[in-house]
Amino acid sequence: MRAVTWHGKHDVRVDNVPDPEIVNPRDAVIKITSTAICGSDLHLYDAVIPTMMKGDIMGHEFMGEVVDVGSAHRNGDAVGTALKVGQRVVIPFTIACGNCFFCEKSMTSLCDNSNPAENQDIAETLMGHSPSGLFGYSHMTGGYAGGQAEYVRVPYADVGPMVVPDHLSDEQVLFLTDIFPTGYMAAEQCDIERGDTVAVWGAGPVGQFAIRSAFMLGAERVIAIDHRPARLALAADAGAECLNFETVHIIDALNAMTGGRGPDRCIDAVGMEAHGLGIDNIIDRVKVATGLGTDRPHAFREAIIACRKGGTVSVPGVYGGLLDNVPFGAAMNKGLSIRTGQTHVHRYLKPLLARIEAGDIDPRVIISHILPLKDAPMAYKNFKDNQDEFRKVVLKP
Amino acid sequence: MARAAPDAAPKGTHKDPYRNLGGAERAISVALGTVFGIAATQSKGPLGILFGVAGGALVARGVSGADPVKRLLGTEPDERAYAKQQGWSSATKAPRSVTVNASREEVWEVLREVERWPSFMVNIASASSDGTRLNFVSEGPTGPVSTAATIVADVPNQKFAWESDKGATNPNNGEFELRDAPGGRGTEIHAKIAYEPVGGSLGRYAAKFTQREPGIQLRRDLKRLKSLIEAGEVPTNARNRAETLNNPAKA
Ligand SMILES: NC(=O)c1ccc[n+]([C@@H]2O[C@H](COP(=O)([O-])OP(=O)(O)OC[C@H]3O[C@@H](n4cnc5c(N)ncnc54)[C@H](O)[C@@H]3O)[C@@H](O)[C@H]2O)c1
Ligand SMILES: [Zn+2]
Ligand SMILES: [Zn+2]
Repeated sequence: MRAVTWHGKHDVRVDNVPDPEIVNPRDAVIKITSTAICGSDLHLYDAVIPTMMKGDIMGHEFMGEVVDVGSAHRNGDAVGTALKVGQRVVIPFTIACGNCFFCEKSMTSLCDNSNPAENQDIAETLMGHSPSGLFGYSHMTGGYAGGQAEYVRVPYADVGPMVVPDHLSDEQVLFLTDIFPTGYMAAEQCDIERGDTVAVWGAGPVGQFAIRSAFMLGAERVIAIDHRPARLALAADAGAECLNFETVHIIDALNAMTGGRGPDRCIDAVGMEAHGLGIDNIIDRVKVATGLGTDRPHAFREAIIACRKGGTVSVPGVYGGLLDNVPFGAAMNKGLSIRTGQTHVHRYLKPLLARIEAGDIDPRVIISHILPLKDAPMAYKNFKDNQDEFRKVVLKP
Repeated sequence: MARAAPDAAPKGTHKDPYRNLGGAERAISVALGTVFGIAATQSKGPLGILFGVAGGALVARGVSGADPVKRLLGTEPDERAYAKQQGWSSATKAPRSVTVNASREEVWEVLREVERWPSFMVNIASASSDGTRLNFVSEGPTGPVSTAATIVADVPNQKFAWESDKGATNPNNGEFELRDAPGGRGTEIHAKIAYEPVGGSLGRYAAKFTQREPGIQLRRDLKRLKSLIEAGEVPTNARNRAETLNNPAKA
């Protein structure tokens, strides 16, 4: 089959690779009908996430049709809901067993079992404990083949995939696999109260869903921060007030907009590769380029300083390693709550599908391009360098 | 006298104190350092600098009585004590634990059926037991090794332990202890494997390098056992059945 494979920094290719098969009883094999490129994939593209190997298949946002199922689905041994060949499903990017302590608490991105034992070694060394396995996202989180391909093997397929109704198009439901739940969880973790102002750093796909979710969850005002005019314009469409960090003192502006209080809730939807030529970000760039650092947490720093006393900083943005010069003294002395995590996608599938069906949100507005899989190298390049035009790319295998 | 709290650290987690050198070691270190220092004053160029630095480090080591390198790479105190007790030249003792979201009965059922060990212990080729004796074949760094052992503890839902026969080629003792996790959070498996490393601590590092070190294996085996019980299968990132032949050693 054809698949998008990683070969190093800024080098992704469409290669011929062996087809996946059922390996374990709870597996399913999915024929992919739509798959998307995520901001998280850019961290891989830029080679800032460790433990990628040449030839790894990328992609963690995908959906399609069940073409094969393991024995557990046929003989009644399924832990969750058995799948049938022909069903149309969306698949959470976090892989979860459904039975461990964390899965029982619906913290599926922390599943104890989905990251194979050998791969957990790396994660444990770097982080103390291993998070769940993820599709197409380095060997530290499982080394699983991703879904920017014609087919994919889905482990624990009786727990992850959700069957979607036929009257909804791929484009309407595809983002349930990651960025809609991610933006929603980022807003939910803010514990928004009546009258709250929510500031969102990053008007990329995750930021866009965070903005819309913050309004759904009762935010009075949402302020979007980015430097891509077209992305900010899309945020404004959703009702956000927009700030361009290239031409505005963000902290001053946020204080002025909130009567000196600062935003009550701050969402960092930028992650480890902040843009901008602020002095701290320039130093971070040098450190990362010379191997002395891993992350560029400019947006996170700014969110902590901006946030109202006793407020919440919610971090859906991905970080990989060690963050230098984080103003933790400010976080401590201002009594901030910091909430973060890879998204527990499973718990949001049904409620957010209901939101889409009810017309509360139309995820299609995020999409800028629908391209054939073979255009993946061009799409990655543009999603990185031409972000104003390439907002969200959907690939069709 | 100041009161001291009882030591809560599990066996196998102790380290030597920062001051880890004896009187004789310290004296030798200072003397040797002094010799190097004198040599440094007699030599010019890079060699002189080298002698100077080495001499300084040795004197500092002797005076302080602390050798951080020995503390990092040397044998652990619990291991020395265990080797002495067993009459081994040296011992490697790896305590590992994991919590399984299942009852002690459920865990015991899988664990005690030693014939099933190969399904989650990747370097065990086969295992059998007749109630009092345990035999298993493992993949050592240099090929398959058989162990014949006596079962020294076999308390249902609580403890299973063995000791290899005296004079074995690869002396090893192992133990699985099951405890209730607090608040109904399942079962803690506390496992220990102690062995006499072939080639001493150097051999142990070589084994670690090839990932055949029993401590590393034990850690992974416990996780696979946990997955087997909790999720009904051992997870793998293999894309197809052909790849499973190399898995799970493939990371
Ligand atoms: N927690 C999760 O489970 C999860 C899931 C999906 C994505 N993510 C992460 O969320 C982040 C965003 O994802 P995305 O798909 O929207 O990526 P993206 O790269 O398309 O968007 C990031 C946006 O941030 C903007 N930005 C950069 N520096 C900024 C700064 N200093 N201040 C304000 N804005 C700035 C960029 O211009 C861009 O529009 C990434 O780190 C991604 O890895 C996390
Ligand atoms: Zn994503
Ligand atoms: Zn789980």
